[in-house]
Amino acid sequence: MTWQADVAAYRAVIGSRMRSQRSHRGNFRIDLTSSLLVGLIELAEVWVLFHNVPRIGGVGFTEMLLVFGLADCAYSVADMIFGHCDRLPDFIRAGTLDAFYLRPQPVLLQLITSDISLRRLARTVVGLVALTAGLCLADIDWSVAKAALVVLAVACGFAIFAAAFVWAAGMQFFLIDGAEATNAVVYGGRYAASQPASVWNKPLKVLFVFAFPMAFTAYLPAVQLLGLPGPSWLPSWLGWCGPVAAVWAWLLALLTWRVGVRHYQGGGG
Amino acid sequence: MIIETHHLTREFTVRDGLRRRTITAVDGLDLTVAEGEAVGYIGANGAGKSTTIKMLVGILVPTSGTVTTCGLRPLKDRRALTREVGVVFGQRSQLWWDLPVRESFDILGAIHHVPGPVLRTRRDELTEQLEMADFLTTPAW
Repeated sequence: MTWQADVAAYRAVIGSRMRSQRSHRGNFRIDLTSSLLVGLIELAEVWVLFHNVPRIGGVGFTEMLLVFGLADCAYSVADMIFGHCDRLPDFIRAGTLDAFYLRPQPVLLQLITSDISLRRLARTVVGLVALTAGLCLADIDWSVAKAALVVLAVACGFAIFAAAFVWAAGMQFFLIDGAEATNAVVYGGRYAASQPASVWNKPLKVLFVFAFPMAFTAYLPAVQLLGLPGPSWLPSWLGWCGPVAAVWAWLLALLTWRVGVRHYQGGGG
Repeated sequence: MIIETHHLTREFTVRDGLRRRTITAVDGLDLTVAEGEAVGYIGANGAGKSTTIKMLVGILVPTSGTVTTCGLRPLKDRRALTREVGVVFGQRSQLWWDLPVRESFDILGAIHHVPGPVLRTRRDELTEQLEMADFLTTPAW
């Protein structure tokens, strides 16, 4: 009985956030449009790049659409649900975080369910179009396993990006105006995820493959889907290791959050 | 005892330019409050009143000392304790700024698992006593 009551509580909050966004219709349309434009510009960047160079890091335009689509679908959904978490300092200043502590639910779950950015759905549409085009145009030797890999990649990619937002939230307890510092990993990581990891140098590979496993969201599954040989350090079977990367990302995120919550200094009187 | 603290202490590290300083906000507080007792806790700005309250309800981790509230350990039993206590901090709102006040209370009722009929009875009672009827349907801001 209690878990149903808990779910009802989260639904009440999220429902009110959705109604609030939809009730400011003009504002919401502008948000949707600008979100769509940002997505299109980033897609255009890929197109412009491959208009001038046929292949980068062993990947051509259609393969690149696949990488971009996988990364953007996973990222935009994670951003919609978790994107506000790294604005934790705003929650602290407004006293909202103290209010979370005074309610009978886990603080992190309250933070996650305190907002939902429906405008990010426009980004998901761009990602889906790129992904569909990539899947149709790229030279993929289809099998049941490969179809499953597409689903697995998007699911794990979502989990990895979501974990990055939670990690960033945990870091805010230690940093002053720390969003700038964590942006390098969260937004830099999203950008890195939509590139072929074969062009990265060694420090970047260490950062975005092993520390923050962004390469597992799009590039590594794409290498496996396309039957390409993996670049140095990254054998192609890593494409199947998304779940391991997702578990690692969440361990890191939850540990950072846990230590952060204990380190909390309070939001003033 | 409803509240019991032993040598409750909280220190903060603050940056003062490049140096770090340690400020002791609450220093070895021994306090007992019996059930049903009403206690005023007064002090100047920065005296540590909020810091004490925040340790009593599990928001802040004490640097040293022990605290039990309603027989519970605030940090370990935070979620159980929130069902027993109410806290209001100055200039801090429990309301959602963009919702009518009535809807904020509905959400808070769901969060604290207050059954619908109980919630409505209590809300109507308080609305009448505090003469809040005119404000109930306007957004908080």
